[in-house]
Amino acid sequence: MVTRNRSVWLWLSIVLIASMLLASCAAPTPQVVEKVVTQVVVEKQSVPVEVTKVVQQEVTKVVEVSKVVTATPLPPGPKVGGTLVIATTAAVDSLNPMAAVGGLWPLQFIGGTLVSKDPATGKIVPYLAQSWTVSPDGLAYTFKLREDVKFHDGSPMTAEDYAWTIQQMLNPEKRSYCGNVAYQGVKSAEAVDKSTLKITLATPNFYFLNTMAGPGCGEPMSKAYAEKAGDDLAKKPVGVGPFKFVSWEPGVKVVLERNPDFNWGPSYTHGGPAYIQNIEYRTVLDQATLLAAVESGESHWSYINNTDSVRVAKTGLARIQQVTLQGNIHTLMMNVEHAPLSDIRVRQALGMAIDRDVLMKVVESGIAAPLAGALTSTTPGYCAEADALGFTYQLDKAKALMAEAGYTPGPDGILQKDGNPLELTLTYLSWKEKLATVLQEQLKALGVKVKMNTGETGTLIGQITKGEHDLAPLGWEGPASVLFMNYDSKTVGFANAARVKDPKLDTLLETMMGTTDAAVNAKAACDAQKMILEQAYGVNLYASMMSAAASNLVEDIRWPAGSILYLFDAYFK
Amino acid sequence: MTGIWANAGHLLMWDVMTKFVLRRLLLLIPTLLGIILMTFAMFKLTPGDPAEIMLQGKGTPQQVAALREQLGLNQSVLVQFGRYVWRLMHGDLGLSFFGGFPVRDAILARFPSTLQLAAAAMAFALVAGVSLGVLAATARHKWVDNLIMTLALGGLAIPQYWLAAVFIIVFAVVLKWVPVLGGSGPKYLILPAICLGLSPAASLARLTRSSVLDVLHNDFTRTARAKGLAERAVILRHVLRNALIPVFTVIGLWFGALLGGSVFVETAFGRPGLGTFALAAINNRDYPQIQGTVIFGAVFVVLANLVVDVLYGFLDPRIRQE
Repeated sequence: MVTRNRSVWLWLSIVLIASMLLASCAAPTPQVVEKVVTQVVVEKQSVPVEVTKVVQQEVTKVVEVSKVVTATPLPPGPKVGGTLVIATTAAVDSLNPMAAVGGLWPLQFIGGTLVSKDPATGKIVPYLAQSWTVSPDGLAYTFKLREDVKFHDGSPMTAEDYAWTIQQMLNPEKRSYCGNVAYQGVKSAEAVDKSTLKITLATPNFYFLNTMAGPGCGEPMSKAYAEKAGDDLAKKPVGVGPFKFVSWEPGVKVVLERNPDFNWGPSYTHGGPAYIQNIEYRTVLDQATLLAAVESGESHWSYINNTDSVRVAKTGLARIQQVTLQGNIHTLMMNVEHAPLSDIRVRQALGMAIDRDVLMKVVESGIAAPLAGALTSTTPGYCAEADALGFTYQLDKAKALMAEAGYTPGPDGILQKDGNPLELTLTYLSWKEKLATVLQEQLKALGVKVKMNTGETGTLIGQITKGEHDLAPLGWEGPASVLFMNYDSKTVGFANAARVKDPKLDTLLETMMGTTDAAVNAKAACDAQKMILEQAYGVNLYASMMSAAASNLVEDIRWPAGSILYLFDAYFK
Repeated sequence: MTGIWANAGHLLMWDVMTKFVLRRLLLLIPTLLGIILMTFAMFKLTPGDPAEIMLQGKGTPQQVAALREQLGLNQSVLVQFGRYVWRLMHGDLGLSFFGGFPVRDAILARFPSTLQLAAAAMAFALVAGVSLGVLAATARHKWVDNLIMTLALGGLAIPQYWLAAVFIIVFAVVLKWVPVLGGSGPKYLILPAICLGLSPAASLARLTRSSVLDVLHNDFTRTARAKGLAERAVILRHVLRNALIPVFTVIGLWFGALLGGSVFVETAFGRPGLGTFALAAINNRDYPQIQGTVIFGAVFVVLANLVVDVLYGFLDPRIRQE
């Protein structure tokens, strides 16, 4: 009987194996994505905006073609040579700009952008585009491209290449990070002629050129090369930048070499080919190993923890570069849809109960800048006037405001109203644990019981977009458009964690975004920042700083806030 | 007649081994099915929306909805599981969320480096562990034995990531004997292999010691000595062959641990491999990459254990009779 059962099981197993083998012999069904949903995206993002001025005159004042095109001869001093090693924790996933995220790091040196940001002044200047115009409604940007730009394979860069690149990134089937993030709000791109590129936005965005000056995503691909290379494009990219691709050892390094034909650098550079002969981009996932690489002199440029900057500087091998991040990186968002945060007095009291000096000392070891206003001082669109309306630490005044709002301290020191203790949930992402802990303690001093809520990022993002939180320390990096993301009523359920629906604020933010007039933009941005502070929609904590170690062997590595690593003029001493 | 009986015995052994191997292969199927089910369940039960994660929380609700549709996340769990198994049977581990590359190709490109590291670590562990274990057993209760066992205890207790950091500081930053930034050549293998292999070496030293001590007092060992064989020959020819059988068993188990431990070591030493691949995937919450690595790793460990079991069957006739 036992032998018979064994035989039955044996035969059943053989039949199962055979059926699975037969099934796997069938042609695999490729993953096919059939639906295009661009239309839905466009509809939802359309916003009626008032535009008051045509800016053609302003644009022609900014651009002077003769200064842009001519490359200045190599000044005496910098010699060509050397291999610059850059090590960061960003893992290179792909070298296809359509697909890359971590790969955008080395790609920024291989490619170029339509416009660039002058690291000294922060102004947008021409780069691959020699001039541009903006339509009166702010929806159409027409770029006149330089005609001397060549891809690394020798073929000329045309408007058709640029338009094709942007169209590929906007194609939802490509699931492009650049398309979803950098080109968010772009409706289409077309080549008007060989050297004229027209980009049409779904909604006006005053800061669009800021985005176009950003690293990696804004670069063109050669259509002919990409179509010929197919999947190999991810392993062998071709760009128009000062450095050409040489090799990629996945998980180890990407090697680039100087492009001797590069003669179209932006106006703040010497314009011509780079001085550095090779770049070696290394991924080092472990922060301790990264620090060891800096301290041993093997890495010439790396991000480091702010707290390690003093130690690295003492080695004498590297100098520390620090930038204040743009945007509103650390803002305590208060969900105004939840009582008692719907009461402005409660929000103001919370703002006054936070001691920013202690916060910066404990969380960032003092390496941060206080942030009174809604934006950091390096942010395009920052309004210094608005800072005066920001919160300062005044615990007594905060307690008085809570009393005015009807809250009295209970026997345990926790404020209560109508017998209900004041309890708020603080939802935070795991890497903000220290910040959240200090906030909890500081709000406890006011008499607020803070319940901590953290966990997996995806879950928390879901909770915040659904408005299940009371308080959440969040923020975005970028120009003043982050205010639109954080506070416009159209972004509730997305980035508006405060869930603010203020028609007056909406008008200001949409004017700020939709105008093409710099003066109108500046006023709207300033007024919006003042209103955000007056209404206490968010408590701004501090401005994050980032530190990097730049080897003393290399000169002129420029790293301005919110921008790429500038190596156009870098050289080995 | 002797030849006939010898051939018959040989045929009988192969018949037993074939059944043994077939039996183990068939047991592989429910194991693999269980692994597939668990990795799929892991994906479904992990909190967070994959579409939101892919867009890094910066997508509009419309973009998130469109991506969910594209990824087939709106379909029933059974349909999703069916499609998942179908793809797996064709060796398709999906496309990475970030980078869009086929996960299978990326794993196959990185696996040789991890295998190289695991093999080097195992080789170090075997050589160091077995030789120290034999030495400790033959010098039982002497200072050599005590020293080796104390070192073995230390080897078991020291965490790999701490050891890696110490190695880098001492040998790369201070002494500059090796570079900090990793690579894929032989010189980049030494420190990582020692770091990864130290714990198995310590374990093997202790296991070998007790196994050798067991065999040293057996009748056949006494007989070999009585026949006048040199002690070295007794140890190498008779004792080790029997003492290493339990050691062989743990090698298969250790392979799984080495694959897992490679995450710390590869990350610390900057070696390209499955470990750093998996860590980058976890940091990015790239679920296809995470799943693909888990399935690949699990299948590899199961197959490695199968090979060890089969070889064990050849080594020890008692096993294949069971």
